[in-house]
Amino acid sequence: MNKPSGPELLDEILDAYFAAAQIPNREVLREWIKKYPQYERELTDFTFAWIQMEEASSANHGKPDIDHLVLKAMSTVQNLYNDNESEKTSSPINNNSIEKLVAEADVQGFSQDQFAAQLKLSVNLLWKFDRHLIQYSSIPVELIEKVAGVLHRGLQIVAEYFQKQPTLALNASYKAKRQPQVSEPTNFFDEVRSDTDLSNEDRAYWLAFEPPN
Amino acid sequence: MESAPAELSGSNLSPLIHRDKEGVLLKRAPDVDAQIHDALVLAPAALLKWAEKEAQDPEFLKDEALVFLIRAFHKSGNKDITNQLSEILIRRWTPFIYSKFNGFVDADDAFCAVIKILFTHILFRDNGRGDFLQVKFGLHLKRIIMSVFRTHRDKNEKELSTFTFSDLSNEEDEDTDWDESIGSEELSPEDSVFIDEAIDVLTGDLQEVYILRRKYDFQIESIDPNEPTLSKYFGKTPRTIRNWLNQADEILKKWQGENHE
Repeated sequence: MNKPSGPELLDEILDAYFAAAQIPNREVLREWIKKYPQYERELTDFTFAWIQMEEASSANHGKPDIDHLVLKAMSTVQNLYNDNESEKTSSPINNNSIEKLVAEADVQGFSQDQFAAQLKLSVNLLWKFDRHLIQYSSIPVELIEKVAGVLHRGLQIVAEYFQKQPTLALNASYKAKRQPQVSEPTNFFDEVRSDTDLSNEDRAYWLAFEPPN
Repeated sequence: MESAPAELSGSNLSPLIHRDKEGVLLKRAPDVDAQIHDALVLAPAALLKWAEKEAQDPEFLKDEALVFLIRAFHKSGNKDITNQLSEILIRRWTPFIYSKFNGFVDADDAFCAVIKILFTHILFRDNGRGDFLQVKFGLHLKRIIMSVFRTHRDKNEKELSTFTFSDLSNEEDEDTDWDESIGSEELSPEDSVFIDEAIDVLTGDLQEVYILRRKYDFQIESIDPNEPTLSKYFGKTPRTIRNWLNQADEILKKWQGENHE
């Protein structure tokens, strides 16, 4: 990736400065001028405008009509949504529920390997998902998004699929006298850690989403 | 091995892609992800009821989760719930956004400009920059407000400063007894109140230079090239800045005498 330069770099610097400073103050400005002396003027202008904004907002100019403003804002948002309509019609969302991920891949003409690769998962993990052996609450939102994107489904449809009750493996034969028990769903990140079919790169990708204990 | 068909990668929804300055992928907070998990399996009526909870409610649906859901429902083509969630988010932030354009002649336009950028980032994520909205919503929103404020500031120069630059004395030869130490120590609560009151008494550059010096402790001049000074910012000699500060002092002394004695 090319490194940003010119206005793009300045914009990134101002973003980072804004996040670092939290409130406009001389000390932080001084540090950033030292770091980026070529942008002294821009950093100073930005800070003084920031101060001006903070001071202006503390002055009392009466109470605004919130309902009127919300109406105006919604009109702006509606225009944006309407402009975005054409983008959506080019890739319509299928609102049918999902029975099996592996079957969905098949219907769309993709091999299981291809499908798993798109999701950065192993085929083994796909099967576990199809038997609902992974706890829904442990599945990263990013995976729900990926599946929705790849299958052109709504997020709710995918979330409903992941929430289904665990099932026994199809075609398995059970010789014991006791009725077979369905396994308890396991944590997604534990599965990722122990899955030997998963590449190190894909494992690292998913483990980066693991919440801290 | 066959490569994956092109349409597989053309996803409508994709994970956060933006990286911070250190190259670390942005991540939503775990509690935001947990709220998204719960929200995705709720019926629309229950979801809306949740989204309407007030900020002080312990179960308040966070802005970052709301942004995710607005985008998701919009992409799914669910207009009703997209509109209702959008309105909830707008209603939460309208007083704050509008307050930043207090007194602007085009305050409504500036407000709508913020909303437009905000929702453009929510929908299109603007090459990943909108990812910040799902990670640090408040911070990114303030950054958007700052951009719009700077664009609209020039149109509102008059409202922000009725005391125009040309009104100020530019004389170099006036004596000055401006106390350099003022502003260098921590302000007492009484001083802070006084300065806040002074904001309305002073106007224009005189107000700006006084606030920058007294409230934000900017130096008039410095031998340190990295020091942001008032002299550099206003493009005036230190003596002129001191004269301005003296003028401000005189106005304030007079005002204080009339109002606090």
